[in-house]
Amino acid sequence: MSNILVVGKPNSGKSLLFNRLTGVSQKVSNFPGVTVEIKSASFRKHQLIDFPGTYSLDPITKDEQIAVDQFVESISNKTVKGVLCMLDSTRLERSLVFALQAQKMALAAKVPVMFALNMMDDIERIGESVDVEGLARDLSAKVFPISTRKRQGLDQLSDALDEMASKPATFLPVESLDLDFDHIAKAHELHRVYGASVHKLLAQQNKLDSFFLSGVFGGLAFVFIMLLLFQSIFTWAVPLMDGVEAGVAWMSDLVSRNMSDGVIKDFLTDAIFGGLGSFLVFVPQIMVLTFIIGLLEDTGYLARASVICHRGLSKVGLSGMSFVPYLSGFACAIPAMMAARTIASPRRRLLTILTIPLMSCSARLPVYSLLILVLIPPIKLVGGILDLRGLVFFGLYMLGIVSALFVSAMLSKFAVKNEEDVPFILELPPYRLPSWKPLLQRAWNSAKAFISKAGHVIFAVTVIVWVLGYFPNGAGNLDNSYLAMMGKAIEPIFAPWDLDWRYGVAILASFVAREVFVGTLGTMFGIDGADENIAGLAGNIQADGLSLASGMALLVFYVIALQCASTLAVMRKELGSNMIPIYTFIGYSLMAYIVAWFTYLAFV
Amino acid sequence: MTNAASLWNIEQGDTAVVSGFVGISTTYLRRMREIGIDIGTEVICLNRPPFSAPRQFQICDGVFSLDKEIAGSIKIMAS
Repeated sequence: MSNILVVGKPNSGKSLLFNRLTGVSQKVSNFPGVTVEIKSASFRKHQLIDFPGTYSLDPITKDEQIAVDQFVESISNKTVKGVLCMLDSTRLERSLVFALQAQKMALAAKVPVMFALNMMDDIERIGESVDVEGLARDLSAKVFPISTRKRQGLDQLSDALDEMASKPATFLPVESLDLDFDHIAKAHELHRVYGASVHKLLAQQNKLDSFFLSGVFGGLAFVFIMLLLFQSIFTWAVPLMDGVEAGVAWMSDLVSRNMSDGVIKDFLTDAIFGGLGSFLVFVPQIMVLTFIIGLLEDTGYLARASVICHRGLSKVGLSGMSFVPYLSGFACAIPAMMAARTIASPRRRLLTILTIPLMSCSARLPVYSLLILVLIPPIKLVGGILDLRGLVFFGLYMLGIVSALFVSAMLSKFAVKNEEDVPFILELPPYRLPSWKPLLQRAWNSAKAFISKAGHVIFAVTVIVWVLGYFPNGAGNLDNSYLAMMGKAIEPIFAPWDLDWRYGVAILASFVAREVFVGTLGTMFGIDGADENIAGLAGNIQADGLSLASGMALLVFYVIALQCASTLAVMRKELGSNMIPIYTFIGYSLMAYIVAWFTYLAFV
Repeated sequence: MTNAASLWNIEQGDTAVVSGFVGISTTYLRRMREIGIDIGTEVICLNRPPFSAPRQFQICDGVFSLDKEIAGSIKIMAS
């Protein structure tokens, strides 16, 4: 199969174009360095390969290193039939710096290059233009003005790409080009002659930056946006959660009414609807979280948040560039650790990766939500604007952040060797209205990925827990089951928090995956309770008498404990060390246990 | 024109011309050129947040946020 490489400077719209041309839904965002992996997908009868953005073929960060190494390797590969170089028409000079280097290397290997001049809609909006023909003439290559967001010019570009990959020789310059030029000077000259004046765009951006990056208002806006993020997870998701809950209850009721009593019926109502069902109720919150993080990325706010946080984060050994991996960590630690590749300093990158597991990922969300529903009354505050449950939710996320900063400060001071540091340089992308469809698609994909990833594990654990909890005495005899026998053996571990063996079993099971906690409790309460309203797990736990002190200890334990095998595997891969993930796992487990104990003592 | 001041020192709204670099490694010197900061480049200070937070500069067709370490290493002449 013939391959076409898609390259360009960070944030030039490569990934959105890749998605548009291939029909896949790779993550895109308005933040430099979002693509940290090389992705490929079919485009007509060819393969399109999307590279992470880089400012130059002389890399300074790990994501750039990956992109450059792979590009250098690929360009001499016989299957590569062409290079599509993305240019941002609103940042033409910066785009050309890399593009000219890439073109030079490709032509030296006899691989044709064409250029896509993206974001032309922005240029037209301010009444400016780019001399596309002149640029194409000087570049000795085809240049296509496009807008990936508005899908303008994509058909012509697709046809040309197809043709280039089919007949590459016809796309090489007729005359041999002088490749001995200073790419920086040439980029400056090409922009001066053919580029558009973007002062109007920059003036709009600067007006917003003067607010979002100002000392007092910028800080307040940051706190407000973060507070809104966590409040909305609790408030916006409620209708969807109610819908899922009602759906699960309806199906459970249907099964109950139409099946005769017996093991199969008990299994379906307790394990499937009780276990899996109570986990599904929280999936809408994960969608809302992904949607809002995507919204912040798309608008360009995240780069500003990185700037605001830089000074504070650098005090604890991190960097403003750690902010985006941290925020991604709220969804999942795995892409977050990969996003840390954009951090140039190896020391700050290491500290970021080690502390990302303390960001409350979406797997913790069902646990937090369940326990908050059990422990915290639904009290409205500040005239109904805030909700006590939302505030506690925010507090748990804050606890994770504070723990991460504390751990980073300690490691920075005592464990991770100091070294010559690297400076903070971040390009601020323009503010943009979000692309709603990809954003909604991303939220939907997050739910699907979460269910498919966790679903298998939860199903397997739920079945095991149900079998052990149901036998030998059947429904209503959980206390005399095999599970109880095993659970009571480990009861002393969690006795200091005044939790009985059922919670001990759920905690230990959740070392497979955190979400298992909810499914396991749901299954056990399903077996034990006469209450068949299995979606009302929170009500069952409340009726069972979980104390505030024990519940808070549980919550704090889940904020800190690192219960995710995949996270440890990615940590090992990213850091190239077998021992660091083991020490991290042991360290966070001990820390979680001790802090949870103190929390219990504080609330008892 | 005032000599030997650094980019870190210019006031919000002021424009300066880059006159040299001090103590920047070759790798970062190259990156500076690639993002448009070269001797003779005009730079505008857009924003000076308090508490030594990174400052924002308009450099050619882009806006960059630079911390004290790097901005302090870029020598300027006020224009």
